Order: sequence, then C-alpha cells, then structure tokens
Amino acid sequence: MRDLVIDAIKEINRELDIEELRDLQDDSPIFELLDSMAILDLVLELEDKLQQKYSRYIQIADDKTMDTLNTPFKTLKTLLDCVEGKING
Amino acid sequence: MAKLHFENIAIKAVVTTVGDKKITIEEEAHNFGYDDKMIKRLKKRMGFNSRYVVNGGVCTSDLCCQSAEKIFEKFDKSEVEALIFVTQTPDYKAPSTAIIMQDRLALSKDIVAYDINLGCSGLINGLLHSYSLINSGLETVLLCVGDVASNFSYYKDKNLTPLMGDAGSAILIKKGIGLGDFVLHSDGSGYKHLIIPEGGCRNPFNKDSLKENNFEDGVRRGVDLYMNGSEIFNFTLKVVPKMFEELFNFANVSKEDIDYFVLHQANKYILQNIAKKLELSGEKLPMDTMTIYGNQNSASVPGTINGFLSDEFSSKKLKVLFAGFGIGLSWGACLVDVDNIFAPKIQYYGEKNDKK
Repeated sequence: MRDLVIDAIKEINRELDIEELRDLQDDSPIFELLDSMAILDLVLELEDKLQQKYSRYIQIADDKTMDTLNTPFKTLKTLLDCVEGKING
Repeated sequence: MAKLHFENIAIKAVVTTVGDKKITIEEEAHNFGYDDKMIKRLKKRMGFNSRYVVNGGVCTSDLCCQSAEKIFEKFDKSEVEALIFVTQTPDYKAPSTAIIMQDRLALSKDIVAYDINLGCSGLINGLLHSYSLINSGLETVLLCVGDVASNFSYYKDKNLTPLMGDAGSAILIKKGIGLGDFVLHSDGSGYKHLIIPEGGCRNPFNKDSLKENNFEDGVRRGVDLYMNGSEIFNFTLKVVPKMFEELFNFANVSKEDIDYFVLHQANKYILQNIAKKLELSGEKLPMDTMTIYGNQNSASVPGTINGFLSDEFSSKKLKVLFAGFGIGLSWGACLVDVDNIFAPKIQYYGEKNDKK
C-alpha cells in the first residue's frame, strides 16, 4: 500500500516536478507543497490505483481533504494512515 | 431539514438559452497567467474546455425571456398565473425583475411575480415555490432561473472565472399527473465562503470597490464573487451524498427507480465522485455541462437537460432527481416525474434556431 501511495504521488509529480516530492519519507510534507488542484489530482490518482487493486471504489476525499489544519494529506505518514483507514473502513 | 411531498403537478417544458460567445480555456489563459502545462492539467482534471458567455449589457432576464418565448411557441402564455425569477443577477436592485418580465413577455397583469436571490440551489428552491403555488390553487407557473455570471466573476480571477458560463432557463409547471418530493437545507454559517462582499447594505459600494486586489488564487475586486474553493469542496462532499439518502428515504425510492440524476454542474470531480459512490454510469448522471458551457449556476440542471438529455426528456416518461448546492450555503434535491415534455436542445442568445 505504501508503494501504491508513493507511486500516486510520483505520478502527479511528473507534471509538477516538485523536488521535495522526489524522495519521500514518512514526515515528508505533501499538502503544503501542492495547490488545491494538485491535491485533487492526487485524490483521483489514488482512487484510480485503489480501484485497480481492490476492484471497488474507495473514496479518498472527504470533508477533511482540503481542511488546512486537519487534512490527512499533511505528510506521507498521515496520508498512508488515511488510505489504510479508507481501505478498511 | 425541510421535506415536502406534492401530487398532481408536472413539469411541461424546459428551455435553456446560453450566451452566444464561446470562449475556450486557451483563449483566456493569459488572463490567469496559465502556461500550456497548466491548461493541460485543467482540461484533464477539472474538465475545463470552453464556456458560453454573453456580450456586455445582456442580462439574465434577456436569456430567460428568450427561453420563455420558445416555450410560448408551444404553450398558451395567457394560462400563466405566476412568474418566479431565481437569480443573483437581476436587472436592477429594485424592482423585482420578474415584474418587468411580466410586461416584456406580455403576460397577464393578474399574475403574481417575484424574484428569489439564490445561486446553485436556485432551481430546487424555485421548483419548490412553483409546486407550492400550484398546490395552493394555481394552474400554471413559469419559473425562470439563471445568471449572467460574467457579471460578477472578474476576468482575472483564475479561481472562478474559467468555470463560469451565462445561461437563463424557463420551466413551465402545470397542474397534471406527477409527484414531487423535495428536501432542502440552509446553513448561513458558511456564507463567507461564496460571497460578493461589497455593494449591498452591509458593505456599501465605495471608492475602493472597483480596485483590483491580488490574492494567491487570483485578482478580484470587492464587487466580484469570491469563492473559497476548498471550503466549498469540503461542504459538497459532506452534504450531497447525505442529502440523496434523505431524499431516497423520504420518497421511499431506491436509486434503481431513478432514470436520471441531473445535478448542479459545479465540478467534474464532485460529479464523478457521486457517480462512483452511487455506482451510476455517466449516462445516468451527465457531467459534461461545465466542460462545454461552463457552470451555469441555477440554470445548470435545466442546461444539462437541454444540452445532453433533450431527446430522452422529449420522448419518455421518466423519474428524475435534480440537485443543487452552493452559495448560502444552501442545498436541496427533488425527485419529480416528467412525461414527454417540451425540452428542445440548447438555444443560443439572439438565435431563433437550434445550433449544433
């Protein structure tokens, strides 16, 4: 699952070319590096990849996605936790 | 939550007129500082492509009057007993544009006519008023909805302007065979997330109201519409799926009973998300209106009918769900029956005939 999330981030970064997103660690920031459209890009990329892997639609976006303080897209670790929660939830 | 049920009321005609000027995202990209890479992203992810707007000086009422005249080619205008005009872009601050439209459309002086100030949820609220008036004894109501959004979105606002299209629809509602179930909500605590801050009584027009201000998400003035895109995104994902559940439960239907889901066309991702969540195909939940015509505010549901479902609505008996959500914050949905209604393809302002 970690690979899937990192692949999704790298996929959207192919167009954005943000240096900090090339080598990702658990505490790497994500949300602060992306504009709202890039966040949406990442959501769609994650949802596509998850649908391919699990053969069902898993919604990643919710009312916290764009919430500056509580977004699960804050770091790689928080995003991984979020995706795991969505898969199991 | 307001929940209302109606019987023996039917929508008979839906006509939408859009601005006659087509603008592609490539043509206006320079206003927003977008390069080719950004244009590609906007097209791919957000569904941006083109939008139809009016030339300066054309008002929403002009678009709606053209739509209404099209309806009166098929229906007798002397039967109209009420005219409701839902818009955020009236002709004047006062009087109500609906009353001026009574005269322009040569309707009877015995009708009731008034404006409602609403945006994206305006169609649902307008239908609710129309159904309520018929439920109270009237036979025929003309509902006009729409906005000339180019009037309130500043041409340099990259957050909003490339989304917006100008459209005005007319809908004829009559006593007849058909059910209507409505659920509606309002939450004024979010009013600042979609707002034209200046020009009203709270913050009157002043010497700085036309001054350009630079923000991270674009350039706009005090008299222009501001949208906090993130908050509206969060709000929509939070309330819309829940509202559908409420409507299904209230009307005692399942999604399989519904032929079409015609939703406010704000954002392609939101529509895709809802379609995936409800496991609906793109055919049942059309989502291309914004890509071709732009976000038509309260006219986006009728605009989608005339733009993409004209043949189906004109030739079949259908159970359809309409939904609107946005400024206010305000959101609502309704489930109505339509049966071979008059729903011609999109009209273009100033043209008499349909244009491909």
